Amino acid sequence: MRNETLNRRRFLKLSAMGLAALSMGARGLQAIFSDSRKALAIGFPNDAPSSLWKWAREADWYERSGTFVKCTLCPHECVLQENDRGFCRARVVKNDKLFSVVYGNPCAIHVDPIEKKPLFHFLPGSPILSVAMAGCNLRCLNCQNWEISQAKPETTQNFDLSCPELIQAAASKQIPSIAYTYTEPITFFEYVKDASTLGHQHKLRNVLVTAGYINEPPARELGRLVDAANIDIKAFNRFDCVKLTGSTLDPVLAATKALKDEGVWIELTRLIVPNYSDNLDDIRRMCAWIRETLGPFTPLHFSRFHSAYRLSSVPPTPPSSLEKAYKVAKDEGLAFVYLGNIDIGFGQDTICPKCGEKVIVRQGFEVIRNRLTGGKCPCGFQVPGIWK
Amino acid sequence: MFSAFVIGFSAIVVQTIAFRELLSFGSGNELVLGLTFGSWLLLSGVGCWLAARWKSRPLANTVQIPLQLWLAVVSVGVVFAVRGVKATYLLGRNPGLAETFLLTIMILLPYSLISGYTLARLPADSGGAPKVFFWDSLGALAGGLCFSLIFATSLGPVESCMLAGIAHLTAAAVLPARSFRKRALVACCALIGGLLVFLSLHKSLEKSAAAVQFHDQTILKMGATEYGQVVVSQKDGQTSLHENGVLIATSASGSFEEYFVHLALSQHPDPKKVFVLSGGLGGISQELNEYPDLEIDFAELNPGLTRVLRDLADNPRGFEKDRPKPRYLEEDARRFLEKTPHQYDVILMPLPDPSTLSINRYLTEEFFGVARNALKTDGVLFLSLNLPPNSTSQEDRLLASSIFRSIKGSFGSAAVFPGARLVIATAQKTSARNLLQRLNERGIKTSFVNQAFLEATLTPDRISMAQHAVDASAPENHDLRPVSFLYFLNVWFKRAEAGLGFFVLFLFLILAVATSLVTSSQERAPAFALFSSGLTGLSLELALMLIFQLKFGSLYIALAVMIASFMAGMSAGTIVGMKYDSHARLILWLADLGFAALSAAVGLLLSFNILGDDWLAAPVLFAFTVLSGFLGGLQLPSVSKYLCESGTAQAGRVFALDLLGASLGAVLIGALAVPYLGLARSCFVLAGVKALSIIGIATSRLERSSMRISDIDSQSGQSSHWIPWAVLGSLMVLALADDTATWVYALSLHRGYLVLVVLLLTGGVFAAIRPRTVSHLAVRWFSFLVLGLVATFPLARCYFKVPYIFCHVCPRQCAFGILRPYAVPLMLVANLRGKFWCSVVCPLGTCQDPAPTIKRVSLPSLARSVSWLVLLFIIFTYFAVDWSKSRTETPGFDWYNFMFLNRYGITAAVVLSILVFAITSLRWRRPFCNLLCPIGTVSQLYLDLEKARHAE
Repeated sequence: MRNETLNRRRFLKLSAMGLAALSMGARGLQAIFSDSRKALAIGFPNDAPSSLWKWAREADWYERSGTFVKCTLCPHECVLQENDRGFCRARVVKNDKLFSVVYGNPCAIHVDPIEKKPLFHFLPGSPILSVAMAGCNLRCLNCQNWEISQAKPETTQNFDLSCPELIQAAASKQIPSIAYTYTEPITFFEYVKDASTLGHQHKLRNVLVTAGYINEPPARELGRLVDAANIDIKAFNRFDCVKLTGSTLDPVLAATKALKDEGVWIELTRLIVPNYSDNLDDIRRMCAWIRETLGPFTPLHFSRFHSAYRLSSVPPTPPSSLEKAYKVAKDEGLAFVYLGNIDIGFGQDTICPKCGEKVIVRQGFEVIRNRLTGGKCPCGFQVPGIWK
Repeated sequence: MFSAFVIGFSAIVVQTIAFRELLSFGSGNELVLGLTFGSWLLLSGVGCWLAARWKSRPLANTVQIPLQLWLAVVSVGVVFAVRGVKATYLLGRNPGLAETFLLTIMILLPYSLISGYTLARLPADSGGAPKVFFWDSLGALAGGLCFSLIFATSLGPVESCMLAGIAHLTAAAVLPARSFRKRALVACCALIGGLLVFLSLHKSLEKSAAAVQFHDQTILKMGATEYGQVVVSQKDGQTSLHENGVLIATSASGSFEEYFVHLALSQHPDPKKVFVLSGGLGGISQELNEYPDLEIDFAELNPGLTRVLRDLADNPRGFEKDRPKPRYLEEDARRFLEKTPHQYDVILMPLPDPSTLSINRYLTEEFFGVARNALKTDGVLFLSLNLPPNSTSQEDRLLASSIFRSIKGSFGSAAVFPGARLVIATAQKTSARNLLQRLNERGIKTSFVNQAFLEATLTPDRISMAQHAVDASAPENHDLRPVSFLYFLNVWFKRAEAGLGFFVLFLFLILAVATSLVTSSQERAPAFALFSSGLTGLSLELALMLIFQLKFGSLYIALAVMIASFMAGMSAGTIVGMKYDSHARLILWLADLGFAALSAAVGLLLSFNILGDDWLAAPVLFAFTVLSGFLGGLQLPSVSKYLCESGTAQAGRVFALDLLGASLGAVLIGALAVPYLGLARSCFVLAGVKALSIIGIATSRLERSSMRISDIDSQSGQSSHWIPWAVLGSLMVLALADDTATWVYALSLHRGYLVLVVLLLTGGVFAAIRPRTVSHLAVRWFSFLVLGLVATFPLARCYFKVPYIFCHVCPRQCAFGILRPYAVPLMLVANLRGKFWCSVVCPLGTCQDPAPTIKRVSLPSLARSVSWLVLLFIIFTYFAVDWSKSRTETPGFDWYNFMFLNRYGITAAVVLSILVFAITSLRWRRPFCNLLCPIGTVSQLYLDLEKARHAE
């Protein structure tokens, strides 16, 4: 080959080889960039359980595209194939259909004070039945409940609890509301939807404790069924959101607005994680957005971070950082700002924006005094919220 | 030999500092420590191996001086690198196992690889590798002693590394001097100059290094303790305590500290004396401050912490001045409780996760026995475990249950309380009902603990969950069978989303390199003996240190003396080995028998608990340590005799084998076998390994070869065969391991990867057109690394298990399936010029090309016929399978179902086939390509036609 001379035959052969290489290469690249391959790497390929859980329910939000199934519930929009598991670990494809494999199969059921969610303007001082299922569509480095949120439903210790049984459990204990919490309730959307519908028939209230990473249409559907939501705004810029949670910000803001439009009582939480989400300018921008979009009477809870999960080397939030955040929120015109997981002498009580008096006094989760009557301050101001 | 001494000295100092700095990568757990230690030894081993492979001559001064200068710089740079990564990349995040490994390798590589390489290529005036080894051991001994006795307690990490750097500078300065007198003079001048530089820079460099990590905090205090550097920092009024960069405690109190302290103290009617283990700075002390008459003894897991905190100007613990002064103990807490005449009302143990064996020793049945004796009859012990508050996994349950049962075993009863962390108490009669009443009686005001808090915390469902968390059937946690540590590792694996697959891969890499070195040695039995001695020696050293720690507490100086004893034994062994190297075979025997007997003896002593008395245990442990080092040193000169290589190649091979064995010991025994098997059984495993080595020596003839150096040099490429197999094996392991299959699969389908493959295939055709413009070797290895995944994935994860075909009917897409319509034509086109694809690019072909020295023969002519039959069958089934699948009626015989294995994972048949092809490729040229591969057969047809045309 080294001593070859280029004759006509060889020239044609080499040209044909080059042309073939270019055309096949271009064709290959075109195939790779075609839409059908989009987001193939999302989720857990070939990871579905061999058989479906007895109450597994077909998902409400998905569409078929050729041999693919595309989940349209959250902005990840996993494109899956037979036997694949979604990014949230709670949805699998079987027989070309998408199933929620956590339906009726919670991994945690507890009775909590509603202040623990935290919801301060929603039936204060009442207990709430809290229920969670394995899986989450975020990957927060600081997750307190990572053992269940970052686990497959088959690996957690679960209970059989159909929607009627859940409603029965709340009613029998005379608990006025149910919280879908601890993990991300969006991943058990169908259960939340069915239980909320049934709960309303039994005069039970429904509460979402969520990070709000959901597409707008399903968010609106959910908004028509639940009564209140605490939405965790992890950070107010795309970079910090991705770094801390693996998700983006815009869908959260869109979903929050959609829930508000549907009449859901909204309270927001911002966990202050040192070096991740403690930037005061970022907090100021968030507060301005809340004031403009949701209104100045939207309660905002700043929460103290405690070392957890992957952030075990980050120290807890210094109390003064929470104080500064509180001041920024007040400066931006938010009326109801609270501080959670800490006691520094303020930030726990509800103060009437009109007369400046403490209308609800709290110590930790305990409501020491409630001066509101039907949500009205003695001065006559109607404090926004759901009070009975 | 001064250079060897300096490398030994510096390696010990920089290694210890680097381990401490790297601890925070994995929250300081011992598995990560084992992995880091293993990586260090592996890199040094690879450096030695490179020295053995690339050059056979010792280093000239012109090369050695820059290398020593490089080592001087990077020895200090290691500290800055670790802290820079923490501050800019990790930001307090704990990386997973794979990320930890990669970061560790990247940080250690510039030092460890070069130090290994330099060591192996040092000129040995006489005596060869053993002499270099002797001086290296002596340097390590000096470094170990200096570090443990002086540096650790008086110098910071950068200061210690600077001194190591000065040693390298001195070594570099000495090299050009010819006479001993001149060398001594230059060495003195260089040392004085270096020390002057040290004195003028050490404070500022130490501060700069701290500022890199704590850039957003004010540093209140830095101090050296036996366990590493302690930094007290402040941000926004909150004080934090860090040990080796790991966050230990913060000053502000939270709801859990309040709940834990008051719950524990409410169980005693009149607590007067409390012992607190760990948490002296945190909120625990703030809560204890509420009890003005309480006598408090504080102990920390690192006794040096107490010293640093005591010296702080203000009082970080926040104690009032008009109360009994708390006592801060500067000694090992377990040892203190064993000997103390005091009796306590309450013992509080807010411990961190049992991530290390030194924390685990406070959670064993033996320790709880000690604690029971230190408590009054109505005293209580409370400890907390970091379990999630809303749900418990099986891994958590096993961890909590083993500790719960250990407490129950010692105290007879135990109780649990739910909370933000799980609380375990010693007395069954404990109850939280009287907590608020006791708080009222004692006039204590709380921020969080009130009626609503207790109603939210002590609900029936949470109490039942807490009880469920401790009722798993787990064995008790013991000093010598640390099951809780093992269960914590399972929790950690889950948290890091890692599995044992990664460790298997790491071990596979070590074994692959070691196997290559052993099999390519002139005499394999001595090479294996050395490798297994490295493994046994280091493992025994670790085991003996662990026993010492368990028996006598963390007596740091004593542990340092043990390391020094080991190195001293090794130096002495090397001298004896060199003296009697004419009896090499006998020495080999004796050393191996000694190691086997020593391992078995340690196992037996542990099994029968013979080391019960302190007066017997301490001398026995020291004697065993010296003996273990001695045996390792003794064997080395004898093995060198049998390797029959030139000086540098011999030194490289000898050091590489020893270090790789030690690396395997650090990971396999140090990190995995002890928690899984227990200490005694691990020692018996070591005895078993040595028994294998003895059998190897007994069955080999051990003749010293008359082979000349020139013959050996010609074999320099002999061990190249293992590389593709190692990479291929690694890919297979990755593909097989359950925890990695998903991301390997995801990687193989990543758009960037697929684009790279297509570009490479296209470029391959152009490389075939202009073969002289590219290096075949470069193309071969680059394409092997890129295409290895796509080519091997169908083997491991395919429903048909036949590479290159059936992709059109496969129920699951894989990278090859996606690329097949474009890849196969490109391969065939590239083959039009001298089978360029098959001979240079194809990774499956590369795997079957062993070393050039192994003479292989062509397959018999019958094989050609077989390949045609296979091709015909493949063409037939290609269409037949497709046709069968598309049929709608119920088939009788169905080609699809006949070929379809319906198994996505790897099968035994595939593993067997791979092994058969691997073995036969040592005898015949490319058996897979020549017998089965359709690309090869079709291309061969074209080549035959071309040949025929030229012949005409």
